[in-house]
Amino acid sequence: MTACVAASELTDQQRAVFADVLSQAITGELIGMANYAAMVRLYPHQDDQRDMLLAAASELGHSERFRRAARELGVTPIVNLEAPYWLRIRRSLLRHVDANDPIACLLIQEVMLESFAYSMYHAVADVAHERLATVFRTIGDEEDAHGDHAVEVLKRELGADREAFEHKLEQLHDEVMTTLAEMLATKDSVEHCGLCHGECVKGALPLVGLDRATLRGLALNRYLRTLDRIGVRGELSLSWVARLPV
Amino acid sequence: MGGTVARVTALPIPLFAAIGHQETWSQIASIVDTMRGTAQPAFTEAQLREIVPWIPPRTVGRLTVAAAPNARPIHGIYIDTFITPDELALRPTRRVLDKVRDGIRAAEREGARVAALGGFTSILAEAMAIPCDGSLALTTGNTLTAALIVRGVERAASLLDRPLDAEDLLIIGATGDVGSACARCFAGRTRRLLLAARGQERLEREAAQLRRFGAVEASTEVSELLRRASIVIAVTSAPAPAFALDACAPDAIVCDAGYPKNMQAATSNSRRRVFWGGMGRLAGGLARNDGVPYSFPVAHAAHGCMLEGAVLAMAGRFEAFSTGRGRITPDRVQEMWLLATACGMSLTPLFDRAGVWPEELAS
Repeated sequence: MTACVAASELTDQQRAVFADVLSQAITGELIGMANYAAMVRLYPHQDDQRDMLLAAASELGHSERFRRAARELGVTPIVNLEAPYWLRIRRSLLRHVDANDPIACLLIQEVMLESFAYSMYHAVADVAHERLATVFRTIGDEEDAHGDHAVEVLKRELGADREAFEHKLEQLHDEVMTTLAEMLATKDSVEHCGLCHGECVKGALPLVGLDRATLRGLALNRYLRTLDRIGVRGELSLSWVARLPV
Repeated sequence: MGGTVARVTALPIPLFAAIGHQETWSQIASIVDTMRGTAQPAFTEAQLREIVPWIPPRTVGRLTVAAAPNARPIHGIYIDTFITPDELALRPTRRVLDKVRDGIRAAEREGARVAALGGFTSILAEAMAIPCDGSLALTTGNTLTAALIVRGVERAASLLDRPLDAEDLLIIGATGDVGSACARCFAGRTRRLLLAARGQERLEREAAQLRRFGAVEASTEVSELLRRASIVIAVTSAPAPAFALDACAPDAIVCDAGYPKNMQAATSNSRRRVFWGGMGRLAGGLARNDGVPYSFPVAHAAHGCMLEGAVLAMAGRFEAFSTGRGRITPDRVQEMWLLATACGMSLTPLFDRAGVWPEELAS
């Protein structure tokens, strides 16, 4: 990936690509906000509830910063919480909230969604002009910071019952990661993602120095490394990732 | 649903790890497709090239090895670094070096006590001088590889009734860790020792040390020596087959111990006899529970570099036995061989891609 030109020198096509990328980022952050807010009721203790609300507020803050970045760039992002892929993910999380399963929710939000967010934000930061790069990089680092606590919680859960944990994770992987991987696959299972202004942005990513395959690779690399940190068997997580859509 | 990965409640802690990489894209495909499971179509090579470079080094196989069929097995793991053949063909990048480092970290994470570094990982780790956390010993696996090459050449000569002291033995890659060990082991045992390597200065130094045992010639021009050698050991770090089998003498015995293989396939029939050097097997087998194919024409066969970790673990010697930089002496080769045979390890019957030698089958 190569660095992009200064903001003032961006072509209309390049601005359009960043607009679609920002649409994904803003919508993803708002989904994250809603997810954390829904998770509040999974925790009986006030400290934990406060942590979830703080996380929700943080995600809202991220979406606002991305909106501001869009304004500065002179583009209007699409914010659509009903966008098919994001809706599917949102519904998955709510099912596990209804099942009173905080571990499943942590895995979806802190491992799966954050892997994609972190890697995408840093990839965009590497090619965007300075001001936009700073926004993406700073938010990416913030996403990274609150993942450590989740990893510790999940490590303990795995240590208590490896088989049950890995079984649950595999089911969640099939449910959520398949959707996330589809967002970066060559073919979509939906007609339109609901966030691109026109045709799918994936084909136009090279205009700003990004490409679909690299974004997919970075996200799955991050995901596998997070599972490694938790202690999931390497051969198992690889077998799951190997069956994701390409 | 994918794979044949067993479910376990608690993982046995592996005593040893083998860290390596695949020689070809088709070998990588066999690992990834096996993991993917049979319900989905195999990846195309283009898809593999998109996916594999991003896979972090990780355990892909869990093994048990034993000194005898009924002996108590010990556990080990195979960690693939997913260094691709394309990456091997280029000058090592930071990304490739990171993969070696991450492979070692994966062994540490699993709690292994000794890790053997296979193929290019030992060369890269040696160059980087990677520190470990203290509880993991790193061994290059090159001493056992050298021992198996030496035994393999001896066996080939014996099977073909060709006394070594009447042979001119060429070692290609003679200044490398394994090549120099083989040269020391064969010094004075053959009619002539022919040494080939790229670096003139080191080659001359190596040859000078061996001349007191017998006739030694050294050259950076492999093709001329290839024509004259009656036995060839090819053990270079070339990332792809670099030497033509057709360039060897018509009745040469060729031990290809490169990883990836050093010798290009012959284009014409001849009486040359080729075998893959450095291969061993354990009497207690090499049982695995992951379904990852590791197929050779001989059951339970494995590379010596990988087996060295298992041997050290079975012997309770969690130490950096092979440390690289050309330090392997005949005494150390013998010491490793005794350790290995005490653990039930033996040379495999000689084979190459065409199968097991008919003389082995007859014997």
